[in-house]
Amino acid sequence: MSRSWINQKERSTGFWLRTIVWIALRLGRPIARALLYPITAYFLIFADRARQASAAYLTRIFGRPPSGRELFRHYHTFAEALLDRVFVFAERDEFFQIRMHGFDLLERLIADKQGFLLVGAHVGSFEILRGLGLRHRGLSVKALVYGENSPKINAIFRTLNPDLFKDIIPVGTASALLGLDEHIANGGVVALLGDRSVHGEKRVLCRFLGEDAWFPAAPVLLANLFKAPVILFFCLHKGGADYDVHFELLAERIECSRKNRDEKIRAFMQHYADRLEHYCRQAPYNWFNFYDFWDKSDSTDEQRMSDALSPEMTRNFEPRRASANRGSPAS
Amino acid sequence: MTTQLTPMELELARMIVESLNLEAIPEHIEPEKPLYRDGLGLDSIDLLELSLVISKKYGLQIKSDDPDVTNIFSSLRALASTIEKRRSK
Repeated sequence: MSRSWINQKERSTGFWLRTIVWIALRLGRPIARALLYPITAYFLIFADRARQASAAYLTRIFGRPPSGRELFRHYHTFAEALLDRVFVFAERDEFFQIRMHGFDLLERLIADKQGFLLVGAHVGSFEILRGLGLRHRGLSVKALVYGENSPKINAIFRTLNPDLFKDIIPVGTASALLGLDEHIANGGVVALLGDRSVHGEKRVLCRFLGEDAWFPAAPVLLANLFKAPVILFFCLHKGGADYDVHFELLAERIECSRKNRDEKIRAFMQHYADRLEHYCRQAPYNWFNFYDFWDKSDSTDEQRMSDALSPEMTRNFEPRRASANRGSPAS
Repeated sequence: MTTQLTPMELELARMIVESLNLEAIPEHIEPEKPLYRDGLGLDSIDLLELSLVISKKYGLQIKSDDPDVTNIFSSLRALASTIEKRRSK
């Protein structure tokens, strides 16, 4: 398709996004949520490759191909999470019911003024945590995000709450990570998502839902450099306004030598993949990696994502590069 | 290929290869080529690690908000000259 067609798409997407945000904030969450049904149907019909990716993932979870209803539910859960992000960024989040599990782990570290790494996934809504949990505790959280694949969506979220974007660090430049060691040393938190490998960065194959897939080495390498604890977190959307946030200790300290580095990366990332699988089985529709996750070719996740997502999908709904980026949009 | 590295560049090249466990031969690193990605093939975590080693050895802190940061890591030569200018030990 021609470039101009894409540009046109992007323009009209921007319009629709702004419209949805307006509806959400002016007319309320119930009305905006009702609109998610036709929107989900639209994407289910038009985003072919993302639909294939969803089907492949759900087949692994269920041990059989998913029904149309289950596919719909997968997309719909993703749309709900994106909509809720609007409320998080607009700080209109009072209606969320958030249950924290294992938060005492964090409280201990915060009380000790010990900086740490938080490693999440593109599962559920890590934004919930960003907007709510940590903000209110005066913690300084810097979120590493990958790429800027949804400039439109980011621009809109940025308008909603510029403050939340101050601490988002786009990865993908030589200098992106410099100084983060000091942030951790001062008791700060560095958050990143551990399920997508990034162009040009080190990665490792780990078993996930029955087959090897690439995972980034960054969580382990950063923990080794920072000499800081690593906490895993998964924010699962349980329907309606209910969210379950789980925190788990991956390691109090990861120290790698030249010799055992690869081995440590593999062991810790495999543990991460195991926990990710555990939570995916617990809340299957919270998986938001709509591309061929098990592709072991040299292509990176970023490339696969842009291949898998049709222009509509990429520009409208993909929070990821952005998310991660954003924080969410960085996600 | 023969490259002409200054003593500081050579010292730094050796330190980079040693601390990041690279297969490259220090004497063969081309001083004008980028360190990041396409040149020497370093990624952002390697550069963070390198900045920690540099800070320890030369007392020079390089942070992402340094106005000169893009230039500093643009090549071995640029990095060596920055260290010579700003080192405190």
